[in-house]
Amino acid sequence: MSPDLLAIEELTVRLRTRRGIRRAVDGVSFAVGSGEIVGLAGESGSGKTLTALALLGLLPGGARVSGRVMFEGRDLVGLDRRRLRELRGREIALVSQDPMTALHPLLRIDVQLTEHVRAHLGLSKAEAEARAVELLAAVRIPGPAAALGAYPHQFSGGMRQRIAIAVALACAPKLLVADEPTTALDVTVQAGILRLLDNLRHEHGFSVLIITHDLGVLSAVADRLVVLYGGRVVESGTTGEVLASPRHPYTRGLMRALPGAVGAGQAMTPIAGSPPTLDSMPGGCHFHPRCDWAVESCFTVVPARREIGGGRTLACDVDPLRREGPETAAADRDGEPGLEPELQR
Amino acid sequence: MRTLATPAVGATSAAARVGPGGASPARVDPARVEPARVDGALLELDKIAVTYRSRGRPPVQAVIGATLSLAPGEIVGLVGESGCGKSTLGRAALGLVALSGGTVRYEGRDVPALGWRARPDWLRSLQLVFQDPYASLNPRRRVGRQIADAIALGTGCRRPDGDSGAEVVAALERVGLTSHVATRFPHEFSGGQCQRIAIARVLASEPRCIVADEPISSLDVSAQAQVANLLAGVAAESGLGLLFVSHDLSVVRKIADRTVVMYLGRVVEEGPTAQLWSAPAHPYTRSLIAAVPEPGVTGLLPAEIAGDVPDPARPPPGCRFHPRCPLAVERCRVDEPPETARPGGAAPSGEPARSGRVRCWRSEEVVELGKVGGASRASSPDGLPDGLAGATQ
Repeated sequence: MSPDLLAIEELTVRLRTRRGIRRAVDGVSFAVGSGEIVGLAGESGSGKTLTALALLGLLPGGARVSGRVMFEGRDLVGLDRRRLRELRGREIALVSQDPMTALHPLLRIDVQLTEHVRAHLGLSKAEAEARAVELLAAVRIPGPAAALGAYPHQFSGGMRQRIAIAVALACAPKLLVADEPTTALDVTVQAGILRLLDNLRHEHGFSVLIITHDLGVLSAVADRLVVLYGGRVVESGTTGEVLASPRHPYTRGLMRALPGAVGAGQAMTPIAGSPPTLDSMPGGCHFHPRCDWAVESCFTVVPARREIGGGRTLACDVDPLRREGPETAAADRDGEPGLEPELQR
Repeated sequence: MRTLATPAVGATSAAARVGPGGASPARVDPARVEPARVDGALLELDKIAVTYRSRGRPPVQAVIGATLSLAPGEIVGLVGESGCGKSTLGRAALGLVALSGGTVRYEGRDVPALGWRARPDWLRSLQLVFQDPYASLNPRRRVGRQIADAIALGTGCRRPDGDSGAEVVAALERVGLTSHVATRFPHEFSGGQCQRIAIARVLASEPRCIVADEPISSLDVSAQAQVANLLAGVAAESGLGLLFVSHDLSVVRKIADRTVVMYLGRVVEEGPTAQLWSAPAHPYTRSLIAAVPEPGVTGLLPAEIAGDVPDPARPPPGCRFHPRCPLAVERCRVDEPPETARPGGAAPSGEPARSGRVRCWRSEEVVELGKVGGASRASSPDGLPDGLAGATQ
């Protein structure tokens, strides 16, 4: 296997809230190999977007980062601004959730597609425009030459996201960070964008870190999965194995909550309760208040993330596969009020 | 057939409403006027047309001749891509948009369009759940107070028994929240909890029919399941009708009794959810199903529909779906198909009127294709087996 393009090691992001300093990302480690699509899965507040922002050096001012983000052997944490600026857009590119806010509404597509190409790669205007036409063709925009003179509002949501992907790919980055790239789109359009990302990475050989709460999306495109909960990695492994036999209770819960994962007529089973907020993060294993398998040690001891074979890791000391009675326990809890721990006090 | 609110709603609120003093003699209850007609449909939309006009642009026919009915206790899912008119139709059902044709009848009475006059009291039992709970809840009022408002409005009386009294607590408990919630503000809760509060508020007004416009689209996966199950449970236990507008087919499949598929202002297919899913009769329904990613199957890319939704101001001639349809033949480009009974749908229930309708010249052949399976998803990008798609082009 080729050396990893990106290796995040013990990344911790501390944010200041009104009640003190909280760890929004807590010792996250994972790697992205070249040409690989890695999915970062988790609900809102799990730290998935902050992880992405940390590796791009785009965290808000008050955030404090520790740990290492090794990109091609260089540590991006603490890299000075100018170096980071050279790297962003050129080596690491971002595709955000909402293409309407990612694209400037008052600038024509040609400006948005050539400005950074000229700045980063030093191409002339004509060269940059020729490249822009190629890029629009690569993301399957019909009539690419004519599209250059248009404004973002003249395109549909799916087309705008394709243009945003073209902007991201303009400098031939090695890593594409896609933060919820299809969440704002229709399923039919989402299917097109996922196919496009998969084709492009085969054609251009870049890696993708795709961040989403939708396991359905990840199952379609991701090679490997990293599941986050409360700022910690709870489970990771190849997509096929993690989704076929999820080992962490949270991953299992997520799978059971998905409408597509269970057969027709079977009800979706939500995970009891709500994800914790930064100020209400429970002690021990962050998932224990919502976990059907929690034992006493889960309340106090932070489970270590360990290898469980086949390239998989798991941060749970209570392996659901080895314990009995989860189905009945889950059924009993479904009707329970979902409350944040602070509300239950 | 049930005429009033359900035992569940009735029991909690009736017990609570008596209050400590036990006397509330001046209680008028205009929302509880006997429905004019309760046999058959609760909500009937007949040949609804909505046209949006703006200066300097051609008029957009957002909805054209859409017919839909909702029975008490029934969940109807309304699906389609953005811009297909599903939200407009949902709003038309509540009288929130001006119709350019057709009628909306709720419990046998015509629903008037929104205007300067006060809405009639009997319309209060027809309620709406919005997509974004942070926008639909008042950020500056405590949760309990907002629920008390709904109780007061729904029952037509003055404030019940305080903002965290038994009635408010009962309404919160119904959606799985506790009394502590009543004294807090909406921003203190997550999206899923806020949506449950919004639903608690709607339920507190004792509706007999709810239109939910994308109620789970802005929520996390586990919260989506919670809210969808909650709405489905309420419909089942209270016998209220639920029109569930969503672009998420997989959730609609789970909770809806019947599914209505819209494309570019037209209802293209309507039928019992299970039948629609196992043997879609319209190529668009088929493509929509094929585009849903299956979390159980890894490495299988969902199918893509060729092209974009056309500009609704300039819909294509003939069948509106023909430019993107892999099965389109010459006739589809010229003649718009009429609404016909869904083929092959009559058998299981034995009730032909309920087995659905479709607008497609080739629906017989589409039904023959059967279930949208893994093999067809993988073999061609439009979710159709290679042989058939190729033969027709």
